[in-house]
Amino acid sequence: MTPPRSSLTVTDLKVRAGEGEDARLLASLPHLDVAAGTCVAIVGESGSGKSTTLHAMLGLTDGLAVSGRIMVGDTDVVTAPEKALTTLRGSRVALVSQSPQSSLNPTMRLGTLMRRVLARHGIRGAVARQRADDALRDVMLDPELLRRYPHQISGGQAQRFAIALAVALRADVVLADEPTSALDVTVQAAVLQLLDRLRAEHGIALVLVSHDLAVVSRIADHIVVMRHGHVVESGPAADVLGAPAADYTRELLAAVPTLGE
Amino acid sequence: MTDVSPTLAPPAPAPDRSAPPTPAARGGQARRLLALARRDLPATVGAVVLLAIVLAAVLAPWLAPYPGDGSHATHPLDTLAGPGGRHWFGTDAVGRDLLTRVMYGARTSLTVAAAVLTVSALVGVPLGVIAGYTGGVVKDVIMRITDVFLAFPALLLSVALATVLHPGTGSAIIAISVGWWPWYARMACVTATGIRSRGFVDAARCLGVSRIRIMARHVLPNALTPVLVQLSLDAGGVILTSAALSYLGLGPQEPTAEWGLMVQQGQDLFITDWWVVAFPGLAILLTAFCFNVLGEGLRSALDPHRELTR
Amino acid sequence: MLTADNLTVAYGRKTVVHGVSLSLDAATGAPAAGAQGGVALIGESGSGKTTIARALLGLVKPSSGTVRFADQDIHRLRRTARTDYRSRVQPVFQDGSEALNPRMTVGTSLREALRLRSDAGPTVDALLEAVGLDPQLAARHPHQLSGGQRQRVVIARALAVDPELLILDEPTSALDVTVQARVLDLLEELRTTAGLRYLLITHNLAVVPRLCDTVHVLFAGRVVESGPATEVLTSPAHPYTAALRDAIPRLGTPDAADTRSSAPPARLERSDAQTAATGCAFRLRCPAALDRCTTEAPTLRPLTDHREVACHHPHGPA
Repeated sequence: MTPPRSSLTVTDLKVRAGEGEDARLLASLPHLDVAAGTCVAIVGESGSGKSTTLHAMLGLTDGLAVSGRIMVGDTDVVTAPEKALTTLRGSRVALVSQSPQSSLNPTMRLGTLMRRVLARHGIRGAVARQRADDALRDVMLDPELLRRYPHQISGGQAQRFAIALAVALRADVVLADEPTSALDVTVQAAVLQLLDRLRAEHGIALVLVSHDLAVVSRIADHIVVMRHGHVVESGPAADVLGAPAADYTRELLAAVPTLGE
Repeated sequence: MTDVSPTLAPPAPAPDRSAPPTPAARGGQARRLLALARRDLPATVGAVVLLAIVLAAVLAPWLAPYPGDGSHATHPLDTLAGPGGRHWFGTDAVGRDLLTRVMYGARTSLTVAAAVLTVSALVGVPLGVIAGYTGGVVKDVIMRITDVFLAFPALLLSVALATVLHPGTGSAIIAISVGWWPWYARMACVTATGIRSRGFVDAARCLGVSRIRIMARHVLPNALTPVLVQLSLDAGGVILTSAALSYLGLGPQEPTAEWGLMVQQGQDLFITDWWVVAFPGLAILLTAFCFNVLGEGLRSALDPHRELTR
Repeated sequence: MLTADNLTVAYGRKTVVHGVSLSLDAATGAPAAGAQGGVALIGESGSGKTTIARALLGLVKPSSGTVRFADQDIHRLRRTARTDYRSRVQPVFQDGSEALNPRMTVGTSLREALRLRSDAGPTVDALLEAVGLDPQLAARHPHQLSGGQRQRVVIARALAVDPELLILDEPTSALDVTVQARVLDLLEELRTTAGLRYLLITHNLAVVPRLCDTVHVLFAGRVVESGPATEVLTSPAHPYTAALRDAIPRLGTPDAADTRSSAPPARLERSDAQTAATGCAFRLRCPAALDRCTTEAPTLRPLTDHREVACHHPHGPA
């Protein structure tokens, strides 16, 4: 494999709501480097700023003040014009949300949807068909599903489809926002495994946001723990899980329910 | 059975520290309203114009240049004067000031709209909620009755009824309401059917809350948002319908000022004295349009799914 | 004592629960030392677990079989008896934002429940304190609360009528793990302070041992395994129970995990249902399905003294 290149670099990121004196800090991330083929997890409770951070990486921060730099390749998401961001989203950076079913247009068959998305990024005809087929096989979905409407598939299948879209577009960076918390446990395990495999096979830089350390512990190389908008702890997964420096990280670890084995 | 709280040991569980959303600061309401206004300019303009129309209607006796012209007064020496300094909108065939007439007409139109919508909502919404929540035979019976009313075009039904009744403002209200309430019943029924399967209704049922109370306290309040939107969207429609009835001579009668009636009386004069028709006509158009824009604005502002459907 | 006997529920033509039997002791004194007195129903979406809860609560009518409480069929109760049942068995649903009327303040919701008591009962403040909430929250609307606070309000409302048995339907799965842990603490504590028993319905096995000592595992509307919680969870006999157990997210570093990137080639996810219409419903997902599994549906049969399993090739108890 080629030496890991940085797919996503965040420097001095601060996201604020409101202006001037009233401004409230929603999230701050001093530094983050996500190399191709690695997985970084951002862990925290609701209100910790983890999702805000993720949305900032997509440039989806309407009405919020963002400062710092978020480099995807040589594009700075913070300063890039909307048009550049539109191209970036999807082709370079893809989002896998908590409930993809609600973000899929309910009136469109999955195949149509896939075709439209590819066409928007200039991929058409036989190439597009080939890509779609390959991507579906990659995520273990039966191509027959393309004939269905979003409400005719299960939550796990919808999540796989969202991942397939990212694969078909050859995204370098995949941002996953609580991708499994709406799923049954067995489906959850399978989707995590899938994300992990694609990260390795396609050299995808994966950013995984979750409230549950256990969910991310098996696939993250690096873990960032956030609370009230600030980074509490950040380091290699083995260190954060094995020798947590912050009390809050220990609290999160203790909260993971176990069978008491 | 152990008694629950009073005898409980002092609360040991750690307080829930997950941050609640900060309650809106003082003045937040005003700021939110302003933000809303900025986001939806057409609806805001519609609301402002409507407010002006309502004020003009309510204050007509004090604001109108010739209050007497609102009803019986006639001025044989001043007929069909064009718009100008003394009569901004001109005068009609019997010399009445049209600006005054249009302002008084607003009173009639808005009264009819308010009365029709109140009656329709008061009859339709409770019936719909009962049908939607109860389901089964009750729903079938109520909905079939509304279907019978909906089978006729609303305007035709109103015209037929108004013909039977003695023409006047009161009969116009009754005639239009009869064709209007079924829409509210149907809408409330659909909404209530959805609310019936919500978790808080299940919870109330499990607690043993009475049916009537569940409908009144749980279903009805949560079914009102679409009703509110529909009321605003419909106001324009009612005004148009009432104008149509008056135009056909089935609504309010002379000397009551009514926009539809004014248009009807002036139509022969349109080529020579356009203002007689134009101003009441424009008033109908403007009011109906503003209600529509406001309704659309309310719909998108109150729709929880607007982010998703875009 | 709440019992379901051969409970079958159908929505239209689709049967979602097939002949499920289970029983729960309610308020027969404190559970034995070390025992939780709780029963868990485990299964994933589509397993029929929520439908069973709704049938036990009298919210859906079974198409056959009965639900009995104190030896009376709860679907045939007269008014006073039904009121009595309502006050003794209460639900706590998954999502607090769904289970609370968005137009009512917390205080109004709780007062509505308190009004249904025959005696004076506790105050709203006392109820809120009992679930670890600040009484000042009574003036708030549900959307002004955090997820954990909402779920506590839902529990407080159930406590308002002084029940003996709570039916908990995924009580914590919409919550962050830390909040989840605190809500479980609360439920554990209320078991003794308020004398409660629990029927816990969940897809996450990890929360089971804290509240329950008996489990029933559901797949496609049937009980496929049941027995003491510790035994079933540590040495599952049914392959589905084993799959559920293995799927629990566990802490571990990537280096320690042998699964990383060397996961077994998963089968292509078929677009058709994951349950088989003939034979054993689980056989399409079963790693060890036999020929017999395609033709003959296994029935629930005893495995040991306390355990039952519906499988032609169960794992032997360790």
